[in-house]
Amino acid sequence: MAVASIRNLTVQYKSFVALSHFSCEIPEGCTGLLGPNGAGKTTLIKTLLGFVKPAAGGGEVLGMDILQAGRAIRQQVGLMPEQDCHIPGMSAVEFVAYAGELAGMPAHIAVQRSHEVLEYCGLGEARYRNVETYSTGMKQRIKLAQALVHGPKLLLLDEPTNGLDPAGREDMLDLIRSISHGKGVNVIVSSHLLPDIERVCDQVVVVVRGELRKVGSILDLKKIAGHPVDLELREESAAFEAALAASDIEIVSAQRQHYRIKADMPLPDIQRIVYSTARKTDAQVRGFQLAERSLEDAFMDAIEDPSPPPIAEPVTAGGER
Amino acid sequence: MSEAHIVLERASRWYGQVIGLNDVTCSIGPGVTALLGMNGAGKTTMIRLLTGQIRETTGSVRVFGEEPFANPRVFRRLGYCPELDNFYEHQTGRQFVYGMARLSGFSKAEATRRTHEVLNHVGMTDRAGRKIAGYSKGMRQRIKLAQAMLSDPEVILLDEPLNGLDPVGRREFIDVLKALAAVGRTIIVSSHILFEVEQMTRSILLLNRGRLLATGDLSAIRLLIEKYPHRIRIETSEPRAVAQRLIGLPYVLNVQFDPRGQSVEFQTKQPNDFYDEVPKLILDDGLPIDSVTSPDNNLESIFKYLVAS
Amino acid sequence: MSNSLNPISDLTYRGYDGPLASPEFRWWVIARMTIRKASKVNSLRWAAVLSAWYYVMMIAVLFFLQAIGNAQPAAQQFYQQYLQRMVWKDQFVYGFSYAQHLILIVSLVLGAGAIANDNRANALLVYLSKPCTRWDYVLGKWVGVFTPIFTVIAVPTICFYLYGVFSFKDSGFISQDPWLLPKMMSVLLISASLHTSLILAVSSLFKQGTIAGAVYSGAYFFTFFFTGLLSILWTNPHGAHSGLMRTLLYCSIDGIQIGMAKAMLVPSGTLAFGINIPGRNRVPLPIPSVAPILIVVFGITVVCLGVIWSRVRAVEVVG
Repeated sequence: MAVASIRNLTVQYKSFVALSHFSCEIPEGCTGLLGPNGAGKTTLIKTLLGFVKPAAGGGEVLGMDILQAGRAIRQQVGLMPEQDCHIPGMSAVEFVAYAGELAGMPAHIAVQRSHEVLEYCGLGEARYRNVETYSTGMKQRIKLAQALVHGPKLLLLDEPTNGLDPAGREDMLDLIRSISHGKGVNVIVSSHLLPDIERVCDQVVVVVRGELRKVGSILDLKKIAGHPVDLELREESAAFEAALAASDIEIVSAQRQHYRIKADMPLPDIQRIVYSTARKTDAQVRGFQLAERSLEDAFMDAIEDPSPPPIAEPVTAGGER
Repeated sequence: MSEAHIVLERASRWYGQVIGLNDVTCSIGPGVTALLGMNGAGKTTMIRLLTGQIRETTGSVRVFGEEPFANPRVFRRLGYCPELDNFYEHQTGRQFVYGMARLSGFSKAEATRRTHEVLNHVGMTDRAGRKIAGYSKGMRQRIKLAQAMLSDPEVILLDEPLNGLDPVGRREFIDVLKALAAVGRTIIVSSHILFEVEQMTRSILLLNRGRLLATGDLSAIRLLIEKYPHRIRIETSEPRAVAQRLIGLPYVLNVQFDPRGQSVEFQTKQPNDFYDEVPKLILDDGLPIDSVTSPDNNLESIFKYLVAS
Repeated sequence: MSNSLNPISDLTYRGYDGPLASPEFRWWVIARMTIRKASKVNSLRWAAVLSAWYYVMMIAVLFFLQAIGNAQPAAQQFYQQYLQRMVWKDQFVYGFSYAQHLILIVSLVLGAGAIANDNRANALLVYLSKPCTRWDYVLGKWVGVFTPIFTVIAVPTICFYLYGVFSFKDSGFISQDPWLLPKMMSVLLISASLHTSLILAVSSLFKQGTIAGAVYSGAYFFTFFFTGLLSILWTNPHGAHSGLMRTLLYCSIDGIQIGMAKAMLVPSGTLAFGINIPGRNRVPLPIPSVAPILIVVFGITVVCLGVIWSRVRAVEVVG
């Protein structure tokens, strides 16, 4: 069951084509939206909110037509924008309650729910202060709170960890993770920070230059053909390298004490050879695991690849030229 | 021999009652050094001190052996890439960099030459003719770096340089910085995004609440964090057998089983001895081990440990 | 599916399944919030009260004269003569005219920051991510500023009217001009809408309420001094009376409204506070004709609305 499906969408602003023949199905759960700057991610988000008048194509969000039911869509969708935004002259409670009222909640319920959501987002006594006095971390939480107040079924987060220090980032990611898993809220996270996406999302949509490049689960994307192994020694060891080369194991890359090796034999055999070689050459193995392509590399490949078929086939074939 | 370009000796700076930097002693030499800390830890104060915008209240700050405050001799050898974007939006990138070059005192010919060079270096040659108002975040960051490199400085300070860059842009930027560091420049990068910092350097300077918490190489620091034992995670189909084999060792402090039954995690303060024991499990006892990793051997965990304690 | 009662409550996030109004009347939510915020400002209350000063003074004068008249027969005669000569509609014109500067303050407080501060805080992003449209936002702000301004100018007028109806019916209060109240109300409605449109247009041009306010006040006083100068020249017996000057006599923010009020009510040129001395009445400034001035007022209002609409840049427009 797709949360959103876009069919053959083309969006252009004057002469600039932001999205061309874009089709994709965004599945339920937590999806990451990746792409270089200017690829069309923001346009896609605006489309999902029912704002854009496309030159061609259409789609549905939560079952509602993006061309006709823009306002109804926005009642069911929450947006946490990237830029700083708030309504001046209000405390956090007022602001979030107002956001709820704007979404259609009755006033007294909006205030109640505002407190609930602010509590959940981790704002204690500070919620009675004017929003303009807040630090970056708190402003991010307020943005999240105003997106959640009307209980949306789909949450759009644009760079949610922008400007947060490491502790704030962890808190925010934990929050997002707990909303998206087990509460029935679908989340789309658009971010440049791939480890964030990895931590929070289960699948990703990659958009490059207005076209869909990949849709797939993160695990699938990270698999590398050939199953190389990542090895870490306590320190670099030329003797170890030489001895390893003597056996049938190929050293694909080496960076100080980190090695990536590859061999045409089952994993336990590789392991035995590596450890016995280490024993012989007096090297200490500190890390041994199946190499995973980092999401960053998967992303880079997706950008460079001219137009591979998406991993998970959408309803209509995408990337039509 | 590489001497430290930057030396702080018991430097402190406060603003009225608020302490920005408290009794910091450190030295920063060639290579990439990461300046880390939570918001409000004193990173901005330190950068301002080093770029000569403010003066220390007590102690000494020396860049190239001199005090940087209002000191053109230091400014000439120092490049600063600030966090905020404050451009004249109507200028083109090239005009801006050229203007900065002229402001630095270069002749017209020299300024033109240098502008061309730095724009080439940051990869903006083809886009420098456009107005800055139309630049994306990534392009602005490059322009900032370009103007910082104009006088071929020995020290470059960057405040959140990777903010807003997509992964491609980030990689290119990091490559440029590493290349500069390789020829002996001192590069100081202040950033919150720890996994990026990790890719750039192993040498960190961590501030917390105005005090210097840690400085030096990452692995060395990790070894010294006494309070938090090393966590070593072994993925195996026989976690109990592995645990049984290792639990008798005196330096194993803690054993934790993963609820899914596919891995077991050990904690120890003597990782060296532990890692010497692991080959015995594989080669001598033949236990089926899928992987051996250390979950907290990254910058993020180290940061958390240091700041928490 | 039912759990036995868990002693520990689940305080984690829960969705909202309650009622959600249909997206039709969002503008009223925005208007309501604007009004609510406005009513809390103290300076607004003071300015509002002070703007009624002329009416209050008139009531005081009438009351005082009546009291003295009752006490002394000589004064009573004076009082009756005073009442006979009273032209009531002139009082409304004066009341309206003398309130203008304070209405300026009221509209500044209400409207200068209304859109300007939103521009700076990027508030439109919040509004439009909810089921609101640009139209909702503009209408909501407009109604939110219009209603308090209208209330501030209407309430004293109505009070004075009621006072007149109950106390001076036999002194020709109603018979002088039976259509006084509807005319006055339409003047007030048009005036309030002009004020609202002007201040919101200026507000939408800036990113800071204080600067918008300063610009608006600047324009107001600059035009005020200009027309003031012109009226001095006009009333000077040696002054020229060209057609151009006649057109420009009312071209200031307060002038155009006073002109409209005069056009609709056609005052007789008595002096303030009901002083009516035939032969010594001041030569009135020419009263503009109704149609042209109304067209100008509506024109300005429409232009301002256009400015607001184009300046409220929605997220649909890519930067």
